[in-house]
Amino acid sequence: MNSRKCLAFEIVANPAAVDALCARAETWLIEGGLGTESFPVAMLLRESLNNSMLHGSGGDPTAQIRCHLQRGRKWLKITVEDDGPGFDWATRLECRADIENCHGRGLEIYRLYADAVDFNRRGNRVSLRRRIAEVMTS
Amino acid sequence: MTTVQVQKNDATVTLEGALTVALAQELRPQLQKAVAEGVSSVVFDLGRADVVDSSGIGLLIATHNSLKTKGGRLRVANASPEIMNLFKAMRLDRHFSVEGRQA
Repeated sequence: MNSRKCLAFEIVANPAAVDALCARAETWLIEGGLGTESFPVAMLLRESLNNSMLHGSGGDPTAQIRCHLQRGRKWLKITVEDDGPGFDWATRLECRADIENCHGRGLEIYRLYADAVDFNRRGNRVSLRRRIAEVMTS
Repeated sequence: MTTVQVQKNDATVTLEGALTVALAQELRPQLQKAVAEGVSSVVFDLGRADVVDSSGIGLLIATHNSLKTKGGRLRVANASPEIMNLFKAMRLDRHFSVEGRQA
């Protein structure tokens, strides 16, 4: 697998592992000439990992989360999967958080920073696609 | 290192690194206690924070809601341009004060 095009991880469901993965992803972006994507990708990646950690793993800090980052010429794709029961995306995806509600911002982050959001039927795997400016690589 | 300083009715949270889920869970009871004990102004200084997630945003909104019921106010200071854009896109700046970093 070409590490410049793809990055794959399997981590345990705890905040330190999420932080470490996000730091590694940022380095990967910078090394690939996509430093300007660091913030939006970090937002998407962190949100997906947090959802798996907080909701998909049932509070089990040893549960596994799988993550895959892939870049094409004009897009980045983030896939995060856990072994939990899944997110009820069909009824929740279009919900808008009321401003006074301190929950529900994760989907708003997806809408802000991803151009496409897809869940598998069970809802335990999310794929996020983001358009990027084409980077000339040697 | 993130610090919380309380002086009379004012609290300042100086963040270092990231306002994300673990820190948000740690700060929430501290700030709830501070507001219950009379703090009416909370400032989150993001001058050294470059990352925020939905849990961090949830903490800001929860703190704003707690302060509002007591006539107090929340202010976010020194937000990075990216975080400013995020908060504006979420219209958070219409509900509490959000200030960016000085150039």
